[in-house]
Amino acid sequence: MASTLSEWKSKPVTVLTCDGRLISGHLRGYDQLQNLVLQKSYETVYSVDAPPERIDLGLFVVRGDNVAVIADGEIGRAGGGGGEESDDDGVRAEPIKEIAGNR
Amino acid sequence: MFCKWESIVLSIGIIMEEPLDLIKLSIDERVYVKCRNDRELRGRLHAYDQHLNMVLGDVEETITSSEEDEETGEEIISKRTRNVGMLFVRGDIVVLVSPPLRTS
Amino acid sequence: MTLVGKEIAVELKNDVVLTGTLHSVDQYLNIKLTTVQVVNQERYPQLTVLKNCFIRGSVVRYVQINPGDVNTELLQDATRKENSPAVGGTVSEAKK
Repeated sequence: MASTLSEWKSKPVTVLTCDGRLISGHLRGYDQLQNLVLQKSYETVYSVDAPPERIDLGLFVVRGDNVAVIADGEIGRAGGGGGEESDDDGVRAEPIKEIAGNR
Repeated sequence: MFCKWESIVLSIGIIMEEPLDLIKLSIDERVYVKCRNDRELRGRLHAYDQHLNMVLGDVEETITSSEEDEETGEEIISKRTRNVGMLFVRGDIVVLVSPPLRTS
Repeated sequence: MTLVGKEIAVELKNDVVLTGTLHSVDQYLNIKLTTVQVVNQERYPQLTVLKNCFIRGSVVRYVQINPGDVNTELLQDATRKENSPAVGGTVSEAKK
């Protein structure tokens, strides 16, 4: 029954935060409250009129309260070859709404 | 008798001690649930817990939204409804639960 | 009675709806889904890559369930039991 994150430890994950951002990285640590440690993390910013922009963040702690969804795998994993176009390049998207009333 | 808050004996014969006892009487009845963000639900109450997490059946959800008319600046209120066969509702969005008419 | 292994649709408080197979639920109602698909892919193309995911219970608004997967009688009985008063047991007394 338990929904733990153990199977994703040290694996690439993507986190949707409560303010609608998408942050990817390697899951180095986590706890019961979904506080997360992400290594080599980056945010992918989508917009309607430009290709997704990748912002490197490095080592990051995300506080559990701000976590909405954790998914396995990284988005637009351009990691393979430097400067190589990822499959994600053509994606145009409106920002995801924030979780309203999440005090 | 009804001024006394500890135990109100209803005509049905069930002693009510706390607010959720009223909801208990509504099990298997159609209830009205008002939720945050201008959402309303009507459905048959199958289950609930102390957080007011609920399971409703044959649900009709009404979402009310208001937009401003670009020309006149008037407020246009629109209602959308949708039907869901079985719905779990998380208690933290629940504002009020209204039991069926006969118990009021 | 369990919904594990059943198809459900989880609606988040930001209107995103994720469908998938229920893998597990915990005491906080955190939900793990497999074979995830986002509803309205045109609006959320950035979420189409999701396959398996963990959804924090606190961000859930609704979970849509297939009515056939639920035994409503069992649910109602369990609810009546669970919510009988801890002190005194007045409801059961009243029933006598």
